[in-house]
Amino acid sequence: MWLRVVVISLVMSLVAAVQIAFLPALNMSATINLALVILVLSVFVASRRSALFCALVLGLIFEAWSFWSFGAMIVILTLITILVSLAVDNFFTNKSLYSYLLLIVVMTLIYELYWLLVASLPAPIMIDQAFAWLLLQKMAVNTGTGIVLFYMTLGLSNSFQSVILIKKKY
Amino acid sequence: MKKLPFVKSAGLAVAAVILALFLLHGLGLLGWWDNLLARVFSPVNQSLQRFGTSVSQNYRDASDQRDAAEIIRQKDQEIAKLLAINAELTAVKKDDRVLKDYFKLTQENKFDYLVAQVLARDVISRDAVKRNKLIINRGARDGVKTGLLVVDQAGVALGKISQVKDHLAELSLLNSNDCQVAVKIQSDAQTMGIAQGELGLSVRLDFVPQSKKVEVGQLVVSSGLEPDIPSNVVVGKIKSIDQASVNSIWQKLAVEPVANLEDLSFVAVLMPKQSFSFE
Repeated sequence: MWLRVVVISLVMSLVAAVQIAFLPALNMSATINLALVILVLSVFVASRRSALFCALVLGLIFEAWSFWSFGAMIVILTLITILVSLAVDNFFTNKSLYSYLLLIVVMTLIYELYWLLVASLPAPIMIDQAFAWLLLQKMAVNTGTGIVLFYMTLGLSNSFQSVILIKKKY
Repeated sequence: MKKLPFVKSAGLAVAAVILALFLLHGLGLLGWWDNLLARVFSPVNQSLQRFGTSVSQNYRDASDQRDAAEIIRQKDQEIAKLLAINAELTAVKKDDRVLKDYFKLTQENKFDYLVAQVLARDVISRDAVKRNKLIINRGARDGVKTGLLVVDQAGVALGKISQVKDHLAELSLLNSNDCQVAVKIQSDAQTMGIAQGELGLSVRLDFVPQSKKVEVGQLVVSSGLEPDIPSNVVVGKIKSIDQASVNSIWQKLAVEPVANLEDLSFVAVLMPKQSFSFE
């Protein structure tokens, strides 16, 4: 168990470092949200407890680097993990690329709206054209990242493989 | 209805953990965690940030080559103008040297430069449009406080410190919404105003009376009216004058920052020197 805790902590530390330092430095118009994609993926390929632990570790690291009110990061990351878990348990299969991608899109929407709400408090949120356009771009880059990570996971783990339908010609 | 065992077991545990974290943070018992992470992650983040910046720079250089001919033509024109200005300045330089010596006595000794490394862009952009905040590896323990001006290697303003932690500080770039700098336009009239970031994309100059004559291309420098910020630090150049605001009391001017706000690895915080005390 402790080995798993150490491994998850190290991997999440690496993810956090890439998310904080590397991806924003690329100056893309919409930065990839690697942390969000990894969390959605973790619900699909790991246990719920491991996924929640990932969210807590990521949240705690981000909090140290964030100048927002304490807890804002931990709350949204754990919320996303819980929502994805609920969706997978009740509405989606956890063995489908499409449900995984759809959840990435929905969680990107929730994540961005959450930060828009936090940023504009106590004023009501204003969704303008620039925000909507950026949101679409973020959904696209996160989905692209999700696809890449999905196929990487497919090669490394058999969590998805059991029901991936491969058309065979007989 | 289907039961939700996950929510019942793990959900409660997570809620308890988050509450405990809030409590610990409220009691100030998580400061060590922030400091530990800042120290452990700083070297990794510096390397990653520099790598990311160089990748971005290389990409931009490659795309800029397409416009090279146009850029060369514009630069030639600028050089011709600068040569003419240089001739005038050479004459002024002699008198200026004497005045500068006096100026140095009072001005130079008031400020120190604290060089800092850029560790990251803000984890979440407050402006929701463009990331225009940087996190640097100097904080309250190094004497950094909110409101201090940050410059690049040429001494040109980049922005102001907006928030501070023990070992980290947040730098709001000039084009950030919450960055305001008291400035003056370098002209005979020495017109004062406030430069403020707009949507993370540009800088506008407010509170310039309509009666003051302003021209495109004039230099905008810090006015020195704010505490801990010296005067005459270059901020930018007047880019355009909003014709629509002619009927209002104030002129609306667009300012183009002189410094490159995109690819930053090092910055310098202008630190006021500690005043002498008997303690």
